[in-house]
Amino acid sequence: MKKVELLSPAGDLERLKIACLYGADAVYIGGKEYSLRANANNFSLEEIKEACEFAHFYQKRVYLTLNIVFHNEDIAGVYKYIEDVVNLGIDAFIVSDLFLVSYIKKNFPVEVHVSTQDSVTNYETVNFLKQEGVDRVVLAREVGRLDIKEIIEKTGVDIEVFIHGAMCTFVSGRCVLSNYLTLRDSNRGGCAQICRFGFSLNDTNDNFSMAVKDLNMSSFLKDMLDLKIASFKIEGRMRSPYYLAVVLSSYRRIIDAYYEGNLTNDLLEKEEHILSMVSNRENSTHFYDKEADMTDQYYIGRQEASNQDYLGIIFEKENNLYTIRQRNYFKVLDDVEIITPNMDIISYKIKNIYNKDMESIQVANQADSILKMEIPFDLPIFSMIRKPYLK
Amino acid sequence: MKLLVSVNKKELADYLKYTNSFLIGLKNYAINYYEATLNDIKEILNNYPGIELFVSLNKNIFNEDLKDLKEKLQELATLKIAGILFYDLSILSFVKKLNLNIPLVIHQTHMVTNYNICNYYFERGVKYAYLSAEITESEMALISKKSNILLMATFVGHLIISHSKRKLVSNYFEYIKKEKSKDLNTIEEKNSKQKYYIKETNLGTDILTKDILNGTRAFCLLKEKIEYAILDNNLIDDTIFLQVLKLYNKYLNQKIEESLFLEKVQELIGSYEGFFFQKTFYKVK
Repeated sequence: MKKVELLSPAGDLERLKIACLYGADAVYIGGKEYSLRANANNFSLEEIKEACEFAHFYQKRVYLTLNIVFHNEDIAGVYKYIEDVVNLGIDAFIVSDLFLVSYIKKNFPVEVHVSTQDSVTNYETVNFLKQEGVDRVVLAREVGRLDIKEIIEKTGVDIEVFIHGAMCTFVSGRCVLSNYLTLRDSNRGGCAQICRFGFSLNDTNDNFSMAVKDLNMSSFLKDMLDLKIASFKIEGRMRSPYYLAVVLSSYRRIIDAYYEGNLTNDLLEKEEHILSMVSNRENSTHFYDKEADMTDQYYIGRQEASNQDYLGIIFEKENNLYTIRQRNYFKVLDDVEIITPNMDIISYKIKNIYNKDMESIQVANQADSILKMEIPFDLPIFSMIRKPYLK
Repeated sequence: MKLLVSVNKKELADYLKYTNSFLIGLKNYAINYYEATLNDIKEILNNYPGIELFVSLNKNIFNEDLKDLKEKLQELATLKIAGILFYDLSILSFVKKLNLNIPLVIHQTHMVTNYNICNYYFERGVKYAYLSAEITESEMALISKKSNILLMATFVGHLIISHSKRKLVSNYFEYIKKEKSKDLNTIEEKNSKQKYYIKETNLGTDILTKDILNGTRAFCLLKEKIEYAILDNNLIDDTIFLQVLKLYNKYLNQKIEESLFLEKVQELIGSYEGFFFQKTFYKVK
């Protein structure tokens, strides 16, 4: 049986490594140019090379976003750029401007995926794109369950759908609010997320809002797995490494359990709980099983909560002495959980903390400080320490 | 260059003194157009023989629409319409597969922004490209130079900025437990105080500029490069619109000096020039 791909965002090399280690089958990254997240760190050519080498070592795939809507001035350099990154080992391009499809397919042995920016919503269009040589289509976020099923049945094209992360209020590619309010070009990676700004309606003091909740499809994941979708995509190239690790490992456990035939309601509930803990906004399933409605939006109050559960990441080890980059406050005798790239979640009470000079301290309260901890079991690099999530 | 009026009614008599090219939306298939049924379209073509009528089907097409869409395209092909504006590629696919004799206009609202994409569609049998309103006059001129496709662009009208499948205004009123009293409202962004129209339809919600685009200066520069200049009557007072249309007609017929033309149009609709002379950027320094 062909297994679904779990596709992760990666805004930089550290995130790419975390994604590969925490369960992604493939990662999508942006270069310094031509990507719809122009203000993420993004990857230089050297970093793309390292990213491909790292990912391929772990038998993961790397997709490069070339999904801006090109203006004339963007065209000149793109052909050379495509050649360069193909030579660095990219497995596929994600494009929205269709002139790139035929160019890439004609000249290079790599896949081309059509971006959600093209808002593909029906099987006739998918079949048209198939004839153009497209290998995969990322469906519009507005496409529901029955349409996904029918598109897969009637096209045979690999279909990718979003399962987790931020949603757009408007149809992708059909929103340029950012251009008009801020001059930042939303279709060239400059989106200022105007849909999350505050508005008033008809010259009143109302708090009119267009903001939408995040997507979280964990409650429908078994149903989605039954549909034979080729790839489950997680949104968020600018999300933290911790967020990626938690989200990926949760979905990894659900997907693996499904294929191993032991996906239980208990496991699903546990993972849904974990996913709800890591989220900094409320979640919804939007268009999957109904037309999106009032319950999928925010109207008052703070939309984003700061998440301080992530306490630190292990980046070096010597026997059982671990070097940790601190992220949030913790202290000796705190109960924590350690999550690992092996998908383990280990409960632990902190016994000791040392500063970088191996002086014993009681409290870790300086963000980004380098600390050491003796932990009496073997943990891989990139394990993370967090506040307890498990009930 | 011809003047192509996006109409706000079925009666075209008022416009006919100044143009015979019109643009209308097909009911249930058009975003931000005056919508007409197929019968309305037949009636218009009967009532006004000799006009050029373009029909917009620019919504996103879902599976459930495909059967009806195919029938509508086959029927439109039997009428003498000047072209179909499309967003969704299923329309291009059907027209090619069924070998329908309908000129096509690629109308992916904010995404027709470069000469390569225009050439891509031209090579696939598309006759016209309706350019994005978010590119500059000089970008349009370069597209004209480097592409064989015939071009359309909006020079007067309230520009569509965003389209959502969500019923954003109804949802809001449901949340505050009040009745929604109208489909066209105004929103104001609280910090910048910029105002926009928000319009709800059976297809979702659209946001439009509250200012009327006055692309007259760009029109004068592009008059040899654009096939159709679109003047959009929707949400604009008819009396004002007809005066603007009359001025554009006079200019094309060399019956008014350019400076006076610019001045008169500005008196009528203001001086908002959109992105004709203003580039967007996408990296925050």
